Amino acid sequence: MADSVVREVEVVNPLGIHARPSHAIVSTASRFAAAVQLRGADRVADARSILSVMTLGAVQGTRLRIEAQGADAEAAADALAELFAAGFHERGDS
Amino acid sequence: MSYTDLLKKKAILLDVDAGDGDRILEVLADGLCNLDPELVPRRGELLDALRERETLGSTAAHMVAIPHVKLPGVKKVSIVVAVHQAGVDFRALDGELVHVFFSVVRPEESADEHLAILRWIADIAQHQDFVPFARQATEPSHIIDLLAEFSPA
Repeated sequence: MADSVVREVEVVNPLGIHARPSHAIVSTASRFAAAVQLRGADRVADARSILSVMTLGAVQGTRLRIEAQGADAEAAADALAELFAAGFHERGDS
Repeated sequence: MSYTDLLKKKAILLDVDAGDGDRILEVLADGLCNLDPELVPRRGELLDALRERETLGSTAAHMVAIPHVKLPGVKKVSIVVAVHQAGVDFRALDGELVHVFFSVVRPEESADEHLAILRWIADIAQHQDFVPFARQATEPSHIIDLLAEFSPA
């Protein structure tokens, strides 16, 4: 029986989701069996595809929904929400 | 949004046959210097920045890589597109060899434009026909036409 979890997150780091944060999102999502999507205002990205994540073009302040489905959906959504909250561990402009 | 206007024919490098990922970065740095004369005296700095960028995490997926850097003092965005027929191991997350490289150098104060450019490239690269068609190109204009065709409206 698959679980389904939704979390609202905001892009807080100044540079938005450029390549390095995209890489961090894909690496994190890939640790889990759950399917994870990031839903933006005008499109949905597969959290395990770096190109797909980059097509969100999410700047600082963008709000996204993490949608995870699968046995470990909750853990996957939590891990990603934590990554967003930490600003992808970026300090200022990098 | 399309950035094909940024692309000149001399920005398209066909038949690149660099043997490995580091040699490719040298070819890309040369290509960028060829587009912006201001980069010529800074080739070493540019190459170091490109190498440094790739150590932060691979920019490759779907047979496409996007080695990109910002350089303080650079006045404009330059983009080089290089096609490698045999493919190069560029440590892609999906393990695939990379056949098309988009290399971008940009001014320091351009974070939002940078995201828009990455989005433009990622949109194009996700088309499953993009890499096969790019590999068939025999003229730089073919690549420019292909990018225009695959750019989101």
